[in-house]
Amino acid sequence: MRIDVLLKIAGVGLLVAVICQALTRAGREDIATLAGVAGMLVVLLTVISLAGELLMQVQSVFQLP
Amino acid sequence: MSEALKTAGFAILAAMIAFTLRAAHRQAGAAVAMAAGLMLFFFAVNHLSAAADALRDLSRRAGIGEDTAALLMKLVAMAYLTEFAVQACRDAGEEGLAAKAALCGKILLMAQTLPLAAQIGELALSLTP
Repeated sequence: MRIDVLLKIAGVGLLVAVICQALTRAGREDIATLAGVAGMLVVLLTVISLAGELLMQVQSVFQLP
Repeated sequence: MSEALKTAGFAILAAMIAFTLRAAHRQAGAAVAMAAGLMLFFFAVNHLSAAADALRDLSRRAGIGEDTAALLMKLVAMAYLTEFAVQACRDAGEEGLAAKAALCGKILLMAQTLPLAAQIGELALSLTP
């Protein structure tokens, strides 16, 4: 069980939330939206690589071609 | 026992992180929940390999054909993956998408099993005089 990946995602999410808040307060809503999208992309890439790993693992456990 | 403890602790911790993060950033909370679900499935699939080996051994001893046993493995893996996808969709709050993924998985499983059902029918027909 890899808790570090979980904490990494949580950290990225927290950072993005803070950046978004700061940018919104500074009146730069457009850049805040961009920052949110970028953070989500980073997190999604991590999660998708995990999902791919799971698919490979299932394939190898059941010895599927 | 220690494995069960580990799983329970991990799930509770992940739920707390996701819940706390959801207040600040909704998508990040959902992503944490999804990653935690992936980790739990990883953990389970590692232990599933022992069961898969036992099943393979059993089918070999029972004299079931090699291709039938392989098909069984394939079906179990498909069901496992479909279940994972359905629960991930449900986590993200997409109830409708989850239902559609479940339906899609069921149809795919049925399509894989139909040749077997046809074999049974042929066998029954050959038994009748």
